[in-house]
Amino acid sequence: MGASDSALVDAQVQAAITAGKYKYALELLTQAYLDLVFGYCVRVLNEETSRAKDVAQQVLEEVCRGFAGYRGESSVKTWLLAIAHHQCLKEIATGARRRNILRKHQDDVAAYLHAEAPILAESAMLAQEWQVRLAWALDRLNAEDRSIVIMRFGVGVAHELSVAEIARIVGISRASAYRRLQEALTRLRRIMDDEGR
Amino acid sequence: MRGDEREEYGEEAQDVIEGLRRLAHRSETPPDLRPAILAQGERLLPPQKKRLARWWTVIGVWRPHPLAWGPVVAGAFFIAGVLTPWPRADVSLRDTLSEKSPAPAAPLLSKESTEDRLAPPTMPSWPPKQEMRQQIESAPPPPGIRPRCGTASPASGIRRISENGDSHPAGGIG
Repeated sequence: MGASDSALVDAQVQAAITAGKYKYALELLTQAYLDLVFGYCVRVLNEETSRAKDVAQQVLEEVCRGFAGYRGESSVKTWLLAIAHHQCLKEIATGARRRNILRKHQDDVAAYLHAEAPILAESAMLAQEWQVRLAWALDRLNAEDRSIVIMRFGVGVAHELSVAEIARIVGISRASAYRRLQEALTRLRRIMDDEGR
Repeated sequence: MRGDEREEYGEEAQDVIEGLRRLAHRSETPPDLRPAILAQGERLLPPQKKRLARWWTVIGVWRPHPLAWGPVVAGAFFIAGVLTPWPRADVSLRDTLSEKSPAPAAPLLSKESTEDRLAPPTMPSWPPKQEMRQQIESAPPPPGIRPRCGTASPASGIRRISENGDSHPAGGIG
């Protein structure tokens, strides 16, 4: 989907919301942006498909609740990715707590590892080793930096957000967002180089 | 966008950026996700809006964009200005007043005095000085008033008043 298609969909969604046709707006949204939201969630959540599916569903539920308050001040894509960003960070924080609990209860660790195994296998099946290393390095970034990098470069060329849009989503200045993006890319590169030695 | 990245993020970040872009094409959305979301959405969606609420939403969307509503408001005022019957500039004020003046007052005013009163503001409100003098000289003195000095005529007294601007009685001074 190109930028003009995206603008057209945005206009249609906004018109449907303004007219109060929320169901139609939701159909348009899912048709145009579900792949984007799911892809973003998958990459931020380190390729955990089942978690990404849950989070994508939560994102669209939030959208349904927020239809009445949507004023069209940002594009629909930015609105969706802003919700996805916050939901993913929440999910990562919850996941971290869950892992801590699992560490304390040794009996459950085996079951947890069993759940993680297919993901490792999936990663191992990647054609290029470089891509595997990149995905691995991406997982080593902190959650917010990872989200920023993915919003900028990891959602497909047609949907990539500008630094200004990312700054609005994260709630920082454009200069700060740009600096964080540069630092995150440098760190990614360093992690990959360190891992390669 | 791609042309700017080399300058913005440096040469060494380029392969990372390309790798991230390749990662973007890897995931496939599960086919059952969309129907699940639509089914869940049916329960969560707010009720259909009423007509008034829809208008309110439209205004709410317009409010933060003055470039959108500014011309609309200006256009509305222009149309209102065109449709409103303003007093036309070529119709004189006299006609307007004579139409509006009450009927009993009309016979009391002579035509000339009405014309004088309704003269446009660009004309002097008083007749020229020479004309006024002639009127006063030719007019007979009021029946109850006689000049105290035989030499002083009412006209000379009047002349003094008009020259000095004082309000002495005619022939009283000098």
